[in-house]
Amino acid sequence: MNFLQPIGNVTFAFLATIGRLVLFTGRSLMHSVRPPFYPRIILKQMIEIGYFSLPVVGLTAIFAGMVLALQSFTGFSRFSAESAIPNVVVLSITRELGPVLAGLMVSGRIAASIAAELGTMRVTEQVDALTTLSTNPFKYLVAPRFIAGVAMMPILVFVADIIGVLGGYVVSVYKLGFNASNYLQNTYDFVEFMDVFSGLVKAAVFGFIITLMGCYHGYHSKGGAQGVGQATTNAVVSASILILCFNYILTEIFFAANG
Amino acid sequence: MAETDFKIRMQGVHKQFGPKVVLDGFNLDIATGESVVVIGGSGVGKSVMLKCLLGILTPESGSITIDDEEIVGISAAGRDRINDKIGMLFQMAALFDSQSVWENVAFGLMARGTPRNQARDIAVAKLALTGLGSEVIDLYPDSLSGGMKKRVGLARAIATDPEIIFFDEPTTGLDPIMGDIINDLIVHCVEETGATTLTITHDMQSARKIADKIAMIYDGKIIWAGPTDEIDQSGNDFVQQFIHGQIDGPIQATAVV
Repeated sequence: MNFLQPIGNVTFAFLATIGRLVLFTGRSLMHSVRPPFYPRIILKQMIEIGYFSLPVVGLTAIFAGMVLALQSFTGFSRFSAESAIPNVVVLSITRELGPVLAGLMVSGRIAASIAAELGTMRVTEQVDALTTLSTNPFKYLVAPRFIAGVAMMPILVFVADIIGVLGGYVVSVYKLGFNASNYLQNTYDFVEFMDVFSGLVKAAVFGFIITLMGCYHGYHSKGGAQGVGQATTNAVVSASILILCFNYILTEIFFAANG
Repeated sequence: MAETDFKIRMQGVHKQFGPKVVLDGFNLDIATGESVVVIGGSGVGKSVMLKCLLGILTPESGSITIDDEEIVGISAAGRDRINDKIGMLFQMAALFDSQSVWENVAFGLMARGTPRNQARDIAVAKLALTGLGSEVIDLYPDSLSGGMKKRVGLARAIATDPEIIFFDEPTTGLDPIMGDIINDLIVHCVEETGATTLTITHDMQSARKIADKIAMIYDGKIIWAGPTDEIDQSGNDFVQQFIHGQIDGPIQATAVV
């Protein structure tokens, strides 16, 4: 019966982690909506998450749009459906590639950075110091990052959508010989409010996931430099997996019923 | 005989992590205005005791009172009220990397609603008390030496004129001269503020200089407590072995790993 013991231990450890994560999420949400707020820190985090992520998200989006147009042309030209390329590009970018690629790139940048920063603060007793200075660490460290993540990700993804479509436009017009105004008209005619809106909702959820994973793993890190490194890795890996998982769930919610 | 006015009382405090019992019926009384130093080897529970007092850890059983108010299981608002009375110097100073020296010192003041300009003036005055001039106030912690960090940490601990100050290994990691300077600063600052203090250390020179009373923790309990000038005549083998740093004696190396 000894072989059951490790299975039991792993199950209990998993359930304990889920419980801790749920409690952490609840506390974080509660402190995010109740004063006092720290506007200077929220603004700083917004700049860090939004403004400084723009180059990496923009580059990802433009190349995604370009390659999408190129690959679509290769496939669609086999059955003379090249005219559908603007539609495929805008639909793929706004519904899926924009939010998912931006989410994954920002998770690599921000979840890692948050986990490393909070983890270092934890192991150097800076988090404990906050408590002794009449400052709730959840309000001061976690809530501003939550608010900034949820607020900035939709803006980032909206910009990524525009740049991604622009990437498809550049390849289609300058390489594949599409008419510029026809391409833009097709794109404009085909895209619907729900396509963009669903992507922005996904972005907000991904912003929540990224900051939650960064804060959770950083806040609970222990064991010095190795512990901080482990927390950083766990934050990025778990945020990336959850982004892909929630992307499917949200797609089901938005589009399963009406396509 | 008049009844002693205790600022801090810990009675029967029990704290364990898994099967490891760290505090086992721990008792400690600290009178108002008294400076108590708790000595003991590494891993015997000194920091855990301090974290229980700060509310960072919650004991499984026992009572901890500050100004006769029970703090085990206290509400968040009550904890904030208690923390307003407390200043703390951490072992490695625990300065906030992202903030300048003066912002670190003024952090507790601004958290309590003191305007930024006024908090900066107070921070400068407190830094001066620890021997740091205006040339350091805009520096960031990563450009300070270990001794300077301790001074900034000390200035932060006294910035709000707390009624109680905790010192966690105040001289650890410093050379003997800088350690002695920090000890003098602690004594000076405590005299200035009139605060009740609790220090944990294994540095006997520091303990003798700072303390009115010394208590020794071993195996989760206080095994001896008395006035500083009586420690050499404690008659306790554990205390004698510890203060003379002897290998032979009742304290086994495995017990303090």
